[in-house]
Amino acid sequence: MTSTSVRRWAWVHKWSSLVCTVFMLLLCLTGLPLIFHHEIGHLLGTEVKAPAMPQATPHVSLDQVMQVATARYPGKGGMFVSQEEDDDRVWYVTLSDTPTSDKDLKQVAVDARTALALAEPKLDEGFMHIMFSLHVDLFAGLPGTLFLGFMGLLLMTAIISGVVLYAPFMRKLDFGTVRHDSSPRTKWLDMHNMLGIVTLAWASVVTLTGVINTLADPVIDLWRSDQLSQMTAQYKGLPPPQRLGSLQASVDAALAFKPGMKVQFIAFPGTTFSTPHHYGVFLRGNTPLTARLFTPVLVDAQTARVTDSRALPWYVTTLLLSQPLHFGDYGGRPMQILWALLDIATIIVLGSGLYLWLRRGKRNAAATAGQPRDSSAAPPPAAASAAASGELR
Amino acid sequence: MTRRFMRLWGWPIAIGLTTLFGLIAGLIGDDIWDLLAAATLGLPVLVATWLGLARRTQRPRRR
Repeated sequence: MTSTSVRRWAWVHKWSSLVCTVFMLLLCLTGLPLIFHHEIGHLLGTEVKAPAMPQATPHVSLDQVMQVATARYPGKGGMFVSQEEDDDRVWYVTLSDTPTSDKDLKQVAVDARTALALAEPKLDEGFMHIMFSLHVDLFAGLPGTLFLGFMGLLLMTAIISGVVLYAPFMRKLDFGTVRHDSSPRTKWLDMHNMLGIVTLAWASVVTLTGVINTLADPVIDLWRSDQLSQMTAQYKGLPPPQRLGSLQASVDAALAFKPGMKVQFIAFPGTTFSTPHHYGVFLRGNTPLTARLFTPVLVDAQTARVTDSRALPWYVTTLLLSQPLHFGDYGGRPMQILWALLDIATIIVLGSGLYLWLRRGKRNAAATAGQPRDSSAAPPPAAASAAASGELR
Repeated sequence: MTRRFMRLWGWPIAIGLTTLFGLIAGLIGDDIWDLLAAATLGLPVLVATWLGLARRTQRPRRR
């Protein structure tokens, strides 16, 4: 690599990282508790616990569940009903003033076997809500989310340019060398390079999948205008139903249409995941992979008959696959712990990068004192040794 | 050229491929696949911890 190209890549690495580092540190720090959100929920007592009952206890009708939930908030209507992947004993009913509200949502957790309200999980307060909002949208809605996505793209640029610079920096060093006995700056340069290259694959995957996740809202909008409108074309222009039919009958119809699948969530008519005429029943499979890839079944909300069901298009599949790969929630406790450790390693990479930039002055002065500023004519080894001193000019 | 290349990139490529295998293994199945995922994702963590904490004497590198 010529010294000119080293300097260009160094410029890219410096500026892409400088712009995004503060936000990436925020994302790494807020992401840490999010990895353990279930465990923290247990500790804080906010996690809903279903009382132990014999396994074969029959489940009550979803219509009854809805009655119990809406009785608590008479002014509100159903928006979503969902259940956890590994626990079908609790229905989480989300209620809202209108099907597209994003404020004043209420959630009621209802026991699927007794129809007793177990708890009202708070959707917009508490420690985890603050962590979640800082991580997802900086309390700024879609613009905040897209901004973080752009910061993620800058981080990806920093990672790629960092890999390019790894070669000239490491030319004279063995893999993983950390010169503990040299100056702090050299030691942290080595640490930065070592941790950066060792966590490269993980950091790239989590960054890219994070960027994809920031596009969730636009992707769902695209799915609505692309597939959902085609699937329900025959209802176009019809007035929305005055009275909704049985939710349980609708879910049964969906499950009969796709045997062997389980309910992930149900969207009430008029939400972003349904039409004014349909329940959107989203089913999932039983393997770790298919549990993430749901199948939408649209059920006529008046007749409880299935209107259509189509496999998700590639862009929604990509979004759904990006979620586990970003969250690290698909391999049990060991994976959560490794995710946290790799996250901490990334914090060190970001922090050491910032430190190297803040301490850049001294060497710069020494290096430029006796040399012409333009060293583009210098042979590659000179560039390499300049680079090895860790200077990003 | 290849020897030089592998000297620089051998370990990074090996660790990167192992990591990617682990990330995918966890998605494929449970139980044994989760174990495989944990073992392979553990590699970069172990390597980073070892290299970051172990104070080795610096060996000069052959050109």
